[in-house]
Amino acid sequence: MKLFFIFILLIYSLSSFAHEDLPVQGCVDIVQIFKAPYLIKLEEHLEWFGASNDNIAKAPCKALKSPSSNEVKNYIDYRAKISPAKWYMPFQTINGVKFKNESSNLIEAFKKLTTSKDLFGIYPADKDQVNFQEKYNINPECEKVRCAIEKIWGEELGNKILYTLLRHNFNTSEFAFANSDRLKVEELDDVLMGLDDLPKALIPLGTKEGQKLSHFSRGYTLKSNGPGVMANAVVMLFDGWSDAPRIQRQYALFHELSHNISYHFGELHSSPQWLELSGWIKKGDNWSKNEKACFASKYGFTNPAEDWAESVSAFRYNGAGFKKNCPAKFEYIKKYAFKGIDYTSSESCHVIVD
Amino acid sequence: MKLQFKLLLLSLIFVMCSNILLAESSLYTNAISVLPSSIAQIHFKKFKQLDVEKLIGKATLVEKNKHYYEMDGFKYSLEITYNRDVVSELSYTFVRNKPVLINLKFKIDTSKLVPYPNAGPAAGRYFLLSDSGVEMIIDPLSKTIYSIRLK
Repeated sequence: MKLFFIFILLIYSLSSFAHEDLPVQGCVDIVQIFKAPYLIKLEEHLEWFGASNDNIAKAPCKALKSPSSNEVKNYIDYRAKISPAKWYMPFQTINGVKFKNESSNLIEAFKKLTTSKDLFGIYPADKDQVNFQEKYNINPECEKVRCAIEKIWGEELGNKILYTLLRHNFNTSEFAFANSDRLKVEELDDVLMGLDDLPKALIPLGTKEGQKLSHFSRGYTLKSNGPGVMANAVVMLFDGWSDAPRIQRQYALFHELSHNISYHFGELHSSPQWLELSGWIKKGDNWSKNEKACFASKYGFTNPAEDWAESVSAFRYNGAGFKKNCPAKFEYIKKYAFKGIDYTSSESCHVIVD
Repeated sequence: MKLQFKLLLLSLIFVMCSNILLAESSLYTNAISVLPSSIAQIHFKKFKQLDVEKLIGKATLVEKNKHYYEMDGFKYSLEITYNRDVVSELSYTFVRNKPVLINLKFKIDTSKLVPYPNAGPAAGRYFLLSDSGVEMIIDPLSKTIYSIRLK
């Protein structure tokens, strides 16, 4: 009889343990997708977005190329040097890799790029953590961060990944977030061009901890996404983004950055003034709007957040058209998000506002 | 021996059922724990309209069986649905003091989040976690809870 009760207790404790909220990093709700003909759909429904390919290409102050390798390396060196002398670490081991006399700025960046978190970058994901010394045999040949980065990602991609983090506070490393894949150089170039389309006053836009901006596992998407989804505000880039023409990749990225601009200024898309401009009212989970209100695109009809992101994208890439069609929204964005700068002409290209 | 076997079988079934119920109710319990105290006191599926009004006052707007409350200047932060005068659904959108995920006593299983709403080619400002009549919408940029629906 005693054995019987011990058995029951054992079963109970085991089954209770099974219901604890354990992190399931490798088991996200994803589904393999087919290579659907969504590129044709994008072309057909371009008015779905706030600017056409032509608008984007001809937008004033548009970044026409990504930073060169020299610019990237010079910026990394500059950031390394501005670490105060006392912050040069004599010895430091990060995720298995030993560094000697390295700048604390670069050590911190290496840590962010190589420390694993969940898909959304919210919780640590210790069980997915890679030991980079074991995987890439970095020491003893390399004792500096740039050398280690180049061993992991190669010279061009590695330096650009490090630059993106140091300059923009966006973490594009596939090791930092669950279910992520490595970006290609050309893809990262489009990311950098999208980031360079921000006004100088908004750089860095990412959060101090190094905000996620990574490519989702290739060949997969989130289960309820459908194959047409290019990206989301987290920021996750999907195959739909990779397969799109480069100009649309830059637009899609800027759209997602626009959500981040709202967050950067304390959720501008939820402010009473912004909601008032379109008559947005939330009843339960449903948003309703003033049907006579002005919108940058059909996609902006979705909710105030998408209205905001599409309006900011139109403000950036179709400034004159957006000012003419939606003057009140244009002025709101210019005042609260872009600090008085607009892109109706090339006059603002080199204006720097604190 | 036969009796012991039956007892064992019954105990196992009891243990399994109670754990399934516990698991189902965990998101509900967690959701209640983060709601503002006045709203958390609304006994879901027990309170009548009069009980609710005693607690939080009259609704700003009434449309059929749905009562809407403007809170912190936001239209409408709270939606209460009544079925035969009893609270059958409750939806609350956080306007201020959004619960920060990393500070909560419970952990969100981020692998179960799905984009919300599923609106278009660049959808995904918010993500939904749902389980047994509870819908929790997460804002991954601010890493906070955006809204909660109980039904």
